[in-house]
Amino acid sequence: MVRDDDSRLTRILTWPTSPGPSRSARLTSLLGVALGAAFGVCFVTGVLSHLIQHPPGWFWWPSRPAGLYRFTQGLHVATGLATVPLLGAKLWSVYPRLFIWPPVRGVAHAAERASVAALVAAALFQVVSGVLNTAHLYAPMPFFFTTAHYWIAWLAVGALLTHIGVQLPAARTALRRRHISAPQQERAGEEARDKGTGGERAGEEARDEGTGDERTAEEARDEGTGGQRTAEEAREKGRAGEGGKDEESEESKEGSEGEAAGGKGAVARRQVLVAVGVAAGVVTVATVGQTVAPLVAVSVLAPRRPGDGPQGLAVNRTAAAAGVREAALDPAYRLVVAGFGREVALSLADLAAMPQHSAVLPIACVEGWSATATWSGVRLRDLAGLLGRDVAGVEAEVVSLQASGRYRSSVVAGPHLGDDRTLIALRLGREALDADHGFPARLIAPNRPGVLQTKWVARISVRRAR
Amino acid sequence: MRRLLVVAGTLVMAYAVIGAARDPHRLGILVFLAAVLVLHDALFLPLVLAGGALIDRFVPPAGRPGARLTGVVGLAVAVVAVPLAIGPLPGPYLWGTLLILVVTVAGRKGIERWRAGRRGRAHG
Repeated sequence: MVRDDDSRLTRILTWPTSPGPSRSARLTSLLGVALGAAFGVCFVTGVLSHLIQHPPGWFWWPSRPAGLYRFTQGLHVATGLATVPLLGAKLWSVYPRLFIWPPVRGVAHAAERASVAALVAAALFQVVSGVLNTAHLYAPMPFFFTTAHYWIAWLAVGALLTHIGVQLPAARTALRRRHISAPQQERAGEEARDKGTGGERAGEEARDEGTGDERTAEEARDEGTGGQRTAEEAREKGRAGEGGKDEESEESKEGSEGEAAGGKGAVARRQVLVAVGVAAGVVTVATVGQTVAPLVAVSVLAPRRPGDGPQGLAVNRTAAAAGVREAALDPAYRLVVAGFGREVALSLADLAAMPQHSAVLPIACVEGWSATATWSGVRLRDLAGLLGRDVAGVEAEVVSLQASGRYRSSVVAGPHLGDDRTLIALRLGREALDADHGFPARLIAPNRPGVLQTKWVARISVRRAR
Repeated sequence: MRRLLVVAGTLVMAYAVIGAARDPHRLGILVFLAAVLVLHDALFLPLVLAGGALIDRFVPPAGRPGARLTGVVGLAVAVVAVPLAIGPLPGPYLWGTLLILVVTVAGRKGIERWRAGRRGRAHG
Protein backbone atom coordinates (compact mmCIF):
# COMPACT_ATOMS: atom_id res chain seq x y z
CA MET A 1 0.00 0.00 0.00
CA VAL A 2 2.73 2.44 0.88
CA ARG A 3 4.85 1.98 -2.15
CA ASP A 4 4.32 5.29 -3.79
CA ASP A 5 5.53 8.38 -1.95
CA ASP A 6 3.02 10.49 -3.80
CA SER A 7 0.08 8.46 -2.65
CA ARG A 8 -2.66 10.22 -0.79
CA LEU A 9 -2.18 7.99 2.21
CA THR A 10 1.51 8.83 2.48
CA ARG A 11 0.76 12.53 2.21
CA ILE A 12 -1.74 12.23 5.02
CA LEU A 13 0.73 10.27 7.07
CA THR A 14 3.27 13.07 6.97
CA TRP A 15 1.47 15.00 9.70
CA PRO A 16 2.40 16.95 11.80
CA THR A 17 5.06 18.45 9.58
CA SER A 18 3.50 18.37 6.19
CA PRO A 19 4.05 19.63 3.59
CA GLY A 20 7.29 17.86 2.93
CA PRO A 21 8.86 14.54 3.77
CA SER A 22 9.01 14.90 7.54
CA ARG A 23 9.71 11.27 8.22
CA SER A 24 13.17 9.92 7.71
CA ALA A 25 15.50 7.17 8.82
CA ARG A 26 17.56 9.75 10.69
CA LEU A 27 14.55 11.10 12.58
CA THR A 28 13.41 7.57 13.39
CA SER A 29 16.92 6.68 14.54
CA LEU A 30 17.28 9.78 16.71
CA LEU A 31 13.93 9.11 18.32
CA GLY A 32 14.90 5.46 18.68
CA VAL A 33 18.13 6.33 20.48
CA ALA A 34 16.30 8.66 22.88
CA LEU A 35 13.56 6.11 23.43
CA GLY A 36 16.07 3.29 23.90
CA ALA A 37 17.92 5.34 26.51
CA ALA A 38 14.65 6.14 28.29
CA PHE A 39 13.59 2.50 28.27
CA GLY A 40 17.03 1.51 29.53
CA VAL A 41 16.73 3.87 32.48
CA CYS A 42 13.21 2.67 33.23
CA PHE A 43 14.22 -0.99 32.94
CA VAL A 44 17.26 -0.74 35.22
CA THR A 45 15.50 1.32 37.87
CA GLY A 46 12.37 -0.83 37.60
CA VAL A 47 14.23 -4.13 37.99
CA LEU A 48 16.11 -2.60 40.92
CA SER A 49 12.81 -1.70 42.57
CA HIS A 50 11.55 -5.23 41.94
CA LEU A 51 14.67 -6.76 43.48
CA ILE A 52 14.38 -4.54 46.56
CA GLN A 53 10.78 -5.66 47.05
CA HIS A 54 11.38 -9.33 46.19
CA PRO A 55 15.05 -9.89 47.04
CA PRO A 56 16.61 -13.13 45.83
CA GLY A 57 19.33 -14.69 47.99
CA TRP A 58 22.18 -13.05 46.12
CA PHE A 59 20.75 -9.54 46.28
CA TRP A 60 22.05 -7.02 48.78
CA TRP A 61 20.64 -3.53 49.21
CA PRO A 62 22.26 -0.99 51.51
CA SER A 63 20.48 1.32 53.95
CA ARG A 64 22.54 4.31 52.83
CA PRO A 65 22.41 6.71 51.11
CA ALA A 66 19.01 7.20 52.67
CA GLY A 67 17.53 8.85 49.56
CA LEU A 68 18.89 6.48 46.93
CA TYR A 69 15.61 4.65 46.31
CA ARG A 70 13.80 7.96 46.26
CA PHE A 71 16.14 9.00 43.46
CA THR A 72 16.00 5.78 41.44
CA GLN A 73 12.22 5.45 41.62
CA GLY A 74 11.66 9.15 41.02
CA LEU A 75 13.88 8.79 37.95
CA HIS A 76 11.94 5.69 36.86
CA VAL A 77 8.58 7.44 36.91
CA ALA A 78 9.82 10.78 35.57
CA THR A 79 11.57 9.05 32.68
CA GLY A 80 8.54 6.88 32.02
CA LEU A 81 6.29 9.93 31.82
CA ALA A 82 8.75 11.77 29.57
CA THR A 83 8.59 8.71 27.31
CA VAL A 84 4.97 9.50 26.39
CA PRO A 85 5.79 11.97 23.58
CA LEU A 86 8.95 10.09 22.61
CA LEU A 87 7.09 6.85 22.07
CA GLY A 88 4.25 8.64 20.30
CA ALA A 89 6.64 10.32 17.88
CA LYS A 90 8.63 7.16 17.26
CA LEU A 91 5.52 5.17 16.42
CA TRP A 92 4.27 8.02 14.24
CA SER A 93 7.59 8.08 12.39
CA VAL A 94 7.33 4.40 11.41
CA TYR A 95 3.56 4.23 11.00
CA PRO A 96 3.66 3.90 7.18
CA ARG A 97 5.63 0.67 7.57
CA LEU A 98 2.54 -0.85 9.10
CA PHE A 99 1.01 -0.80 5.63
CA ILE A 100 3.91 -2.37 3.74
CA TRP A 101 2.61 -4.61 1.00
CA PRO A 102 2.82 -7.54 0.89
CA PRO A 103 2.67 -7.64 4.69
CA VAL A 104 4.85 -10.74 4.89
CA ARG A 105 7.59 -11.73 2.46
CA GLY A 106 8.83 -14.86 4.11
CA VAL A 107 9.48 -16.57 7.41
CA ALA A 108 12.32 -14.24 8.45
CA HIS A 109 10.30 -11.16 7.56
CA ALA A 110 7.29 -12.51 9.44
CA ALA A 111 9.46 -13.12 12.52
CA GLU A 112 10.88 -9.62 12.29
CA ARG A 113 7.42 -8.08 12.01
CA ALA A 114 6.19 -10.18 14.93
CA SER A 115 9.08 -8.95 17.08
CA VAL A 116 8.28 -5.35 16.10
CA ALA A 117 4.62 -5.93 17.03
CA ALA A 118 5.77 -7.34 20.39
CA LEU A 119 7.99 -4.32 20.90
CA VAL A 120 5.25 -1.82 20.07
CA ALA A 121 2.64 -3.62 22.18
CA ALA A 122 5.03 -3.99 25.13
CA ALA A 123 6.18 -0.37 24.92
CA LEU A 124 2.58 0.89 24.81
CA PHE A 125 1.65 -1.50 27.64
CA GLN A 126 4.44 -0.15 29.84
CA VAL A 127 3.76 3.51 29.21
CA VAL A 128 -0.04 3.27 29.41
CA SER A 129 -0.09 1.05 32.51
CA GLY A 130 2.55 3.24 34.15
CA VAL A 131 0.50 6.38 33.53
CA LEU A 132 -2.65 4.66 34.84
CA ASN A 133 -0.76 3.53 37.93
CA THR A 134 0.47 7.02 38.77
CA ALA A 135 -3.17 8.15 38.49
CA HIS A 136 -4.42 5.24 40.66
CA LEU A 137 -6.73 4.31 37.80
CA TYR A 138 -6.77 0.53 37.98
CA ALA A 139 -10.18 -0.29 36.49
CA PRO A 140 -8.92 -0.52 32.88
CA MET A 141 -6.14 -2.94 33.89
CA PRO A 142 -7.36 -6.55 34.23
CA PHE A 143 -4.24 -7.64 36.13
CA PHE A 144 -2.10 -6.77 39.12
CA PHE A 145 -0.08 -3.81 37.92
CA THR A 146 3.25 -4.51 39.59
CA THR A 147 3.82 -8.05 38.32
CA ALA A 148 2.44 -7.36 34.85
CA HIS A 149 4.58 -4.22 34.52
CA TYR A 150 7.59 -6.29 35.55
CA TRP A 151 7.12 -9.12 33.06
CA ILE A 152 6.20 -6.87 30.16
CA ALA A 153 9.31 -4.81 30.89
CA TRP A 154 11.34 -7.93 30.09
CA LEU A 155 9.28 -8.44 26.94
CA ALA A 156 9.91 -4.84 25.88
CA VAL A 157 13.64 -5.09 26.50
CA GLY A 158 13.92 -8.43 24.73
CA ALA A 159 12.03 -7.10 21.72
CA LEU A 160 14.15 -3.94 21.84
CA LEU A 161 17.39 -5.94 21.76
CA THR A 162 16.08 -7.92 18.79
CA HIS A 163 15.00 -4.72 17.05
CA ILE A 164 18.40 -3.14 17.61
CA GLY A 165 20.05 -6.26 16.24
CA VAL A 166 17.97 -6.06 13.08
CA GLN A 167 18.17 -2.29 12.63
CA LEU A 168 21.72 -1.60 13.84
CA PRO A 169 23.35 -0.95 10.45
CA ALA A 170 20.41 1.15 9.37
CA ALA A 171 20.41 3.26 12.52
CA ARG A 172 24.19 3.61 12.48
CA THR A 173 24.18 4.83 8.91
CA ALA A 174 21.27 7.18 9.46
CA LEU A 175 22.89 8.71 12.53
CA ARG A 176 26.23 9.14 10.74
CA ARG A 177 24.61 10.76 7.76
CA ARG A 178 25.02 14.35 8.87
CA HIS A 179 28.78 13.97 8.95
CA ILE A 180 29.11 12.56 5.46
CA SER A 181 30.33 14.91 2.79
CA ALA A 182 28.43 15.50 -0.43
CA PRO A 183 30.74 13.31 -2.58
CA GLN A 184 30.39 10.53 -0.04
CA GLN A 185 26.65 10.89 -0.21
CA GLU A 186 26.77 10.60 -3.94
CA ARG A 187 28.78 7.41 -3.57
CA ALA A 188 26.22 6.18 -1.05
CA GLY A 189 23.54 6.92 -3.62
CA GLU A 190 25.51 4.89 -6.17
CA GLU A 191 25.77 2.01 -3.72
CA ALA A 192 22.06 2.10 -3.13
CA ARG A 193 21.50 2.03 -6.86
CA ASP A 194 23.87 -0.90 -7.18
CA LYS A 195 21.88 -2.70 -4.55
CA GLY A 196 18.79 -1.86 -6.48
CA THR A 197 20.15 -3.20 -9.72
CA GLY A 198 21.93 -6.12 -8.21
CA GLY A 199 18.87 -8.26 -8.05
CA GLU A 200 17.07 -10.06 -5.33
CA ARG A 201 19.94 -10.41 -2.89
CA ALA A 202 20.89 -6.74 -2.92
CA GLY A 203 17.27 -5.78 -2.64
CA GLU A 204 16.93 -8.09 0.30
CA GLU A 205 19.95 -6.52 1.98
CA ALA A 206 18.61 -3.04 1.49
CA ARG A 207 15.32 -4.15 2.90
CA ASP A 208 16.81 -5.98 5.87
CA GLU A 209 19.14 -3.18 6.75
CA GLY A 210 16.14 -1.05 6.33
CA THR A 211 18.11 1.98 5.48
CA GLY A 212 20.37 1.88 2.58
CA ASP A 213 17.39 3.22 0.78
CA GLU A 214 16.18 5.71 3.32
CA ARG A 215 19.66 6.82 4.23
CA THR A 216 20.60 7.85 0.76
CA ALA A 217 17.24 9.43 0.19
CA GLU A 218 17.69 11.39 3.37
CA GLU A 219 21.18 12.48 2.52
CA ALA A 220 20.08 13.66 -0.83
CA ARG A 221 17.09 15.51 0.52
CA ASP A 222 18.93 17.24 3.31
CA GLU A 223 21.99 18.20 1.38
CA GLY A 224 20.26 18.88 -1.89
CA THR A 225 22.28 16.49 -4.00
CA GLY A 226 19.27 15.58 -5.99
CA GLY A 227 19.72 11.89 -5.39
CA GLN A 228 16.53 11.36 -3.47
CA ARG A 229 14.43 10.03 -6.25
CA THR A 230 17.07 7.71 -7.60
CA ALA A 231 17.69 6.26 -4.19
CA GLU A 232 13.99 5.81 -3.65
CA GLU A 233 13.76 4.17 -7.00
CA ALA A 234 16.66 1.90 -6.10
CA ARG A 235 14.75 0.73 -3.08
CA GLU A 236 11.75 -0.13 -5.15
CA LYS A 237 13.89 -1.98 -7.61
CA GLY A 238 15.70 -3.74 -4.84
CA ARG A 239 12.37 -4.99 -3.61
CA ALA A 240 11.32 -6.11 -7.01
CA GLY A 241 14.73 -7.51 -7.85
CA GLU A 242 14.75 -5.69 -11.16
CA GLY A 243 17.23 -3.60 -13.03
CA GLY A 244 16.55 0.10 -12.96
CA LYS A 245 19.07 2.21 -14.76
CA ASP A 246 16.64 2.99 -17.53
CA GLU A 247 14.72 5.29 -15.26
CA GLU A 248 17.64 6.91 -13.50
CA SER A 249 18.13 9.76 -15.91
CA GLU A 250 14.50 10.69 -15.80
CA GLU A 251 14.47 10.57 -12.04
CA SER A 252 17.62 12.63 -11.72
CA LYS A 253 15.89 15.42 -13.63
CA GLU A 254 13.83 15.87 -10.59
CA GLY A 255 16.92 16.77 -8.59
CA SER A 256 15.96 20.39 -8.10
CA GLU A 257 12.55 19.32 -6.91
CA GLY A 258 14.19 16.93 -4.45
CA GLU A 259 16.46 19.74 -3.29
CA ALA A 260 13.52 21.97 -2.43
CA ALA A 261 11.73 19.12 -0.73
CA GLY A 262 14.93 18.34 1.14
CA GLY A 263 15.06 21.81 2.67
CA LYS A 264 11.46 21.57 3.76
CA GLY A 265 12.04 18.08 5.04
CA ALA A 266 15.00 19.11 7.19
CA VAL A 267 13.00 21.98 8.68
CA ALA A 268 10.01 19.72 9.22
CA ARG A 269 12.11 17.09 10.97
CA ARG A 270 13.69 19.71 13.21
CA GLN A 271 10.18 20.86 14.09
CA VAL A 272 9.23 17.32 15.05
CA LEU A 273 12.30 16.93 17.26
CA VAL A 274 11.75 20.33 18.89
CA ALA A 275 8.06 19.58 19.50
CA VAL A 276 8.84 16.18 21.02
CA GLY A 277 11.62 17.65 23.16
CA VAL A 278 9.37 20.46 24.38
CA ALA A 279 6.54 18.00 25.10
CA ALA A 280 8.87 15.70 27.07
CA GLY A 281 10.20 18.68 29.00
CA VAL A 282 6.73 20.02 29.74
CA VAL A 283 5.45 16.63 30.93
CA THR A 284 8.51 16.27 33.16
CA VAL A 285 8.26 19.72 34.68
CA ALA A 286 4.51 19.32 35.10
CA THR A 287 4.87 16.14 37.15
CA VAL A 288 8.33 15.89 38.70
CA GLY A 289 7.37 18.18 41.58
CA GLN A 290 5.86 15.09 43.17
CA THR A 291 9.37 14.13 44.19
CA VAL A 292 11.47 17.25 43.53
CA ALA A 293 9.89 19.56 46.08
CA PRO A 294 11.28 22.89 44.74
CA LEU A 295 9.40 22.29 41.48
CA VAL A 296 6.04 21.60 43.07
CA ALA A 297 4.77 25.11 42.32
CA VAL A 298 5.06 24.53 38.57
CA SER A 299 4.16 20.84 38.63
CA VAL A 300 0.48 21.35 37.93
CA LEU A 301 0.00 17.68 37.05
CA ALA A 302 1.88 16.20 40.00
CA PRO A 303 -0.18 13.21 41.20
CA ARG A 304 1.03 13.90 44.76
CA ARG A 305 2.49 17.00 46.31
CA PRO A 306 4.78 17.38 49.28
CA GLY A 307 2.49 18.79 51.97
CA ASP A 308 -0.60 16.85 50.83
CA GLY A 309 -2.40 14.58 53.27
CA PRO A 310 -2.83 14.31 57.03
CA GLN A 311 0.06 15.85 58.98
CA GLY A 312 1.35 17.25 55.69
CA LEU A 313 2.28 13.87 54.27
CA ALA A 314 0.55 11.96 51.48
CA VAL A 315 -1.12 8.62 52.16
CA ASN A 316 -1.73 5.81 49.72
CA ARG A 317 -3.72 3.45 51.92
CA THR A 318 -5.81 4.83 54.73
CA ALA A 319 -6.56 3.01 58.00
CA ALA A 320 -10.18 2.68 56.93
CA ALA A 321 -9.25 1.22 53.55
CA ALA A 322 -6.91 -1.25 55.24
CA GLY A 323 -9.66 -2.19 57.72
CA VAL A 324 -7.48 -1.56 60.75
CA ARG A 325 -8.95 1.59 62.24
CA GLU A 326 -10.65 -0.11 65.16
CA ALA A 327 -7.71 -2.33 66.02
CA ALA A 328 -5.25 0.55 65.69
CA LEU A 329 -7.19 2.78 68.10
CA ASP A 330 -7.86 -0.04 70.62
CA PRO A 331 -6.31 0.86 74.02
CA ALA A 332 -5.48 -2.83 74.46
CA TYR A 333 -3.00 -2.59 71.56
CA ARG A 334 0.28 -4.43 72.17
CA LEU A 335 3.33 -4.68 69.94
CA VAL A 336 4.69 -8.20 70.09
CA VAL A 337 8.41 -8.79 69.54
CA ALA A 338 9.17 -12.47 69.11
CA GLY A 339 12.06 -14.72 68.14
CA PHE A 340 14.60 -17.24 69.34
CA GLY A 341 12.05 -18.77 71.71
CA ARG A 342 11.14 -15.50 73.44
CA GLU A 343 8.23 -13.09 73.13
CA VAL A 344 7.76 -9.59 74.52
CA ALA A 345 4.47 -7.63 74.44
CA LEU A 346 4.76 -3.85 74.65
CA SER A 347 2.02 -1.29 75.21
CA LEU A 348 2.26 2.21 73.77
CA ALA A 349 3.41 3.41 77.21
CA ASP A 350 6.14 0.74 77.23
CA LEU A 351 7.30 1.88 73.81
CA ALA A 352 7.27 5.54 74.86
CA ALA A 353 9.40 4.66 77.90
CA MET A 354 12.18 3.19 75.72
CA PRO A 355 14.99 5.40 74.34
CA GLN A 356 13.50 7.64 71.68
CA HIS A 357 15.28 8.63 68.48
CA SER A 358 14.47 10.90 65.57
CA ALA A 359 15.24 10.54 61.89
CA VAL A 360 14.53 12.74 58.91
CA LEU A 361 13.58 10.28 56.19
CA PRO A 362 11.51 10.26 53.02
CA ILE A 363 8.52 8.14 52.23
CA ALA A 364 9.46 7.16 48.68
CA CYS A 365 6.52 5.59 46.92
CA VAL A 366 6.91 3.13 44.05
CA GLU A 367 4.57 5.44 42.11
CA GLY A 368 7.31 8.05 42.03
CA TRP A 369 6.18 10.56 44.64
CA SER A 370 8.12 11.16 47.80
CA ALA A 371 8.05 13.44 50.80
CA THR A 372 10.41 13.97 53.68
CA ALA A 373 9.30 13.98 57.31
CA THR A 374 10.77 13.87 60.77
CA TRP A 375 9.95 10.61 62.51
CA SER A 376 10.48 9.74 66.18
CA GLY A 377 10.27 6.40 67.94
CA VAL A 378 12.23 3.36 69.00
CA ARG A 379 15.11 1.90 67.02
CA LEU A 380 14.17 -1.44 65.52
CA ARG A 381 17.47 -2.93 66.62
CA ASP A 382 16.70 -1.90 70.24
CA LEU A 383 13.42 -3.80 70.02
CA ALA A 384 15.17 -6.82 68.53
CA GLY A 385 17.71 -6.52 71.32
CA LEU A 386 14.93 -7.15 73.87
CA LEU A 387 15.16 -10.79 72.84
CA GLY A 388 18.65 -10.96 74.27
CA ARG A 389 20.43 -11.70 71.00
CA ASP A 390 22.94 -9.73 68.98
CA VAL A 391 21.28 -8.39 65.83
CA ALA A 392 24.25 -9.38 63.65
CA GLY A 393 23.18 -11.96 61.08
CA VAL A 394 19.48 -11.63 61.79
CA GLU A 395 16.49 -10.13 59.99
CA ALA A 396 13.09 -9.01 61.17
CA GLU A 397 9.69 -9.58 59.66
CA VAL A 398 7.42 -6.65 60.50
CA VAL A 399 3.73 -7.55 60.37
CA SER A 400 0.78 -5.16 60.26
CA LEU A 401 -2.58 -5.25 61.98
CA GLN A 402 -4.03 -5.76 58.49
CA ALA A 403 -5.72 -9.12 58.13
CA SER A 404 -4.74 -9.42 54.48
CA GLY A 405 -3.10 -7.59 51.64
CA ARG A 406 0.09 -7.87 49.61
CA TYR A 407 1.88 -5.36 51.81
CA ARG A 408 0.74 -6.43 55.26
CA SER A 409 4.28 -7.45 56.15
CA SER A 410 7.85 -6.74 55.11
CA VAL A 411 11.25 -8.15 55.90
CA VAL A 412 13.94 -5.84 57.24
CA ALA A 413 17.32 -7.27 56.25
CA GLY A 414 20.60 -6.85 58.11
CA PRO A 415 21.81 -3.53 56.70
CA HIS A 416 18.52 -1.84 57.55
CA LEU A 417 17.96 -3.64 60.86
CA GLY A 418 21.29 -2.43 62.17
CA ASP A 419 20.88 1.14 60.88
CA ASP A 420 20.53 3.91 63.50
CA ARG A 421 17.73 5.48 61.50
CA THR A 422 15.51 2.42 61.20
CA LEU A 423 12.70 3.14 63.62
CA ILE A 424 9.39 1.84 64.82
CA ALA A 425 8.00 5.36 64.66
CA LEU A 426 5.42 6.59 67.13
CA ARG A 427 5.44 10.24 66.15
CA LEU A 428 5.44 12.28 62.95
CA GLY A 429 6.86 15.72 63.53
CA ARG A 430 5.69 16.75 66.98
CA GLU A 431 2.49 14.73 66.97
CA ALA A 432 1.50 11.13 67.46
CA LEU A 433 1.09 9.37 64.16
CA ASP A 434 -2.20 9.92 62.39
CA ALA A 435 -4.17 6.70 62.00
CA ASP A 436 -3.60 6.92 58.24
CA HIS A 437 0.15 7.12 58.78
CA GLY A 438 0.23 3.94 60.82
CA PHE A 439 -0.82 4.77 64.41
CA PRO A 440 0.05 3.41 66.89
CA ALA A 441 3.40 2.38 65.40
CA ARG A 442 4.93 2.06 61.96
CA LEU A 443 8.20 1.08 60.38
CA ILE A 444 10.33 3.78 58.82
CA ALA A 445 13.76 2.97 57.41
CA PRO A 446 16.21 4.70 55.07
CA ASN A 447 16.52 3.79 51.39
CA ARG A 448 13.42 1.65 51.14
CA PRO A 449 10.21 1.74 49.06
CA GLY A 450 7.11 3.12 50.77
CA VAL A 451 5.27 -0.20 50.37
CA LEU A 452 7.89 -1.79 52.65
CA GLN A 453 7.46 0.85 55.38
CA THR A 454 4.84 -1.27 57.13
CA LYS A 455 2.10 0.65 58.94
CA TRP A 456 0.04 -0.33 62.00
CA VAL A 457 2.75 -2.68 63.22
CA ALA A 458 1.43 -5.51 65.38
CA ARG A 459 4.30 -7.97 65.46
CA ILE A 460 8.03 -8.10 64.85
CA SER A 461 9.45 -11.57 64.28
CA VAL A 462 13.22 -11.72 64.57
CA ARG A 463 15.05 -14.65 62.99
CA ARG A 464 18.34 -15.68 61.47
CA ALA A 465 18.87 -14.09 58.06
CA ARG A 466 17.84 -16.47 55.26
CA MET B 1 27.14 -8.53 17.20
CA ARG B 2 23.75 -8.34 15.48
CA ARG B 3 23.15 -12.05 15.81
CA LEU B 4 24.12 -11.87 19.46
CA LEU B 5 21.59 -9.09 20.02
CA VAL B 6 18.85 -11.00 18.21
CA VAL B 7 19.56 -14.22 20.13
CA ALA B 8 19.80 -12.40 23.47
CA GLY B 9 16.60 -10.49 22.73
CA THR B 10 14.77 -13.68 21.80
CA LEU B 11 15.89 -15.36 25.02
CA VAL B 12 14.81 -12.37 27.11
CA MET B 13 11.43 -12.35 25.36
CA ALA B 14 11.05 -16.06 26.08
CA TYR B 15 11.82 -15.39 29.77
CA ALA B 16 9.16 -12.67 29.79
CA VAL B 17 6.55 -14.87 28.12
CA ILE B 18 7.21 -17.75 30.53
CA GLY B 19 7.00 -15.39 33.51
CA ALA B 20 3.83 -13.70 32.30
CA ALA B 21 2.25 -17.06 31.46
CA ARG B 22 2.59 -18.06 35.11
CA ASP B 23 0.77 -14.94 36.27
CA PRO B 24 -2.79 -15.68 37.39
CA HIS B 25 -3.95 -12.69 35.32
CA ARG B 26 -2.18 -13.82 32.14
CA LEU B 27 -5.31 -13.50 30.05
CA GLY B 28 -5.81 -9.92 31.26
CA ILE B 29 -2.20 -9.11 30.38
CA LEU B 30 -2.64 -10.56 26.89
CA VAL B 31 -5.89 -8.67 26.34
CA PHE B 32 -4.34 -5.40 27.48
CA LEU B 33 -1.30 -5.93 25.24
CA ALA B 34 -3.53 -6.50 22.22
CA ALA B 35 -5.89 -3.67 23.18
CA VAL B 36 -3.22 -0.97 23.47
CA LEU B 37 -1.68 -2.07 20.17
CA VAL B 38 -4.95 -2.09 18.25
CA LEU B 39 -6.33 1.07 19.84
CA HIS B 40 -3.12 2.94 19.16
CA ASP B 41 -2.67 1.86 15.54
CA ALA B 42 -6.30 1.77 14.47
CA LEU B 43 -7.80 4.62 16.47
CA PHE B 44 -5.42 6.92 18.31
CA LEU B 45 -2.85 7.53 15.60
CA PRO B 46 -5.41 7.99 12.79
CA LEU B 47 -7.18 10.57 14.99
CA VAL B 48 -3.88 12.34 15.59
CA LEU B 49 -3.18 12.36 11.85
CA ALA B 50 -6.65 13.68 11.19
CA GLY B 51 -5.98 16.48 13.67
CA GLY B 52 -2.80 17.30 11.81
CA ALA B 53 -4.65 17.33 8.52
CA LEU B 54 -7.17 19.76 10.01
CA ILE B 55 -4.35 22.06 11.05
CA ASP B 56 -3.01 22.01 7.49
CA ARG B 57 -6.46 22.71 6.09
CA PHE B 58 -7.68 25.44 8.39
CA VAL B 59 -4.65 27.14 9.93
CA PRO B 60 -2.76 29.72 7.83
CA PRO B 61 0.79 28.61 6.91
CA ALA B 62 2.40 31.12 9.26
CA GLY B 63 0.52 29.73 12.22
CA ARG B 64 1.04 26.05 11.50
CA PRO B 65 4.36 25.47 13.31
CA GLY B 66 2.86 26.98 16.46
CA ALA B 67 -0.35 25.00 16.07
CA ARG B 68 1.59 21.77 15.58
CA LEU B 69 3.82 22.42 18.57
CA THR B 70 0.78 23.14 20.72
CA GLY B 71 -0.90 20.04 19.35
CA VAL B 72 2.05 17.77 20.16
CA VAL B 73 2.51 19.24 23.64
CA GLY B 74 -1.24 19.18 24.31
CA LEU B 75 -1.50 15.57 23.22
CA ALA B 76 1.38 14.42 25.41
CA VAL B 77 0.03 16.35 28.37
CA ALA B 78 -3.47 14.98 27.78
CA VAL B 79 -2.22 11.39 27.84
CA VAL B 80 -0.85 12.05 31.33
CA ALA B 81 -3.59 14.38 32.56
CA VAL B 82 -6.76 12.60 31.47
CA PRO B 83 -6.18 9.50 33.66
CA LEU B 84 -5.41 11.85 36.56
CA ALA B 85 -8.56 13.85 35.92
CA ILE B 86 -10.85 10.83 35.82
CA GLY B 87 -9.01 8.88 38.51
CA PRO B 88 -9.59 9.02 42.27
CA LEU B 89 -6.74 11.41 43.11
CA PRO B 90 -7.91 14.93 43.91
CA GLY B 91 -6.44 17.80 41.97
CA PRO B 92 -7.32 20.41 39.35
CA TYR B 93 -5.72 18.46 36.52
CA LEU B 94 -7.91 19.85 33.72
CA TRP B 95 -7.10 23.39 34.80
CA GLY B 96 -3.46 22.37 34.94
CA THR B 97 -3.66 21.09 31.38
CA LEU B 98 -5.26 24.32 30.19
CA LEU B 99 -2.59 26.33 31.99
CA ILE B 100 0.15 24.33 30.28
CA LEU B 101 -1.40 24.96 26.87
CA VAL B 102 -1.72 28.69 27.54
CA VAL B 103 1.88 28.87 28.73
CA THR B 104 3.06 26.85 25.70
CA VAL B 105 1.30 29.17 23.24
CA ALA B 106 2.41 32.30 25.10
CA GLY B 107 5.96 30.98 25.39
CA ARG B 108 6.17 30.26 21.71
CA LYS B 109 4.83 33.69 20.81
CA GLY B 110 7.30 35.27 23.21
CA ILE B 111 10.21 33.40 21.62
CA GLU B 112 9.01 34.42 18.15
CA ARG B 113 8.85 38.10 19.15
CA TRP B 114 12.24 37.92 20.81
CA ARG B 115 13.73 36.36 17.66
CA ALA B 116 12.02 38.95 15.45
CA GLY B 117 13.41 41.69 17.66
CA ARG B 118 16.90 40.24 17.41
CA ARG B 119 16.64 39.99 13.65
CA GLY B 120 15.39 43.56 13.50
CA ARG B 121 18.31 44.83 15.55
CA ALA B 122 20.76 42.83 13.44
CA HIS B 123 19.41 44.34 10.21
CA GLY B 124 18.87 47.80 11.64
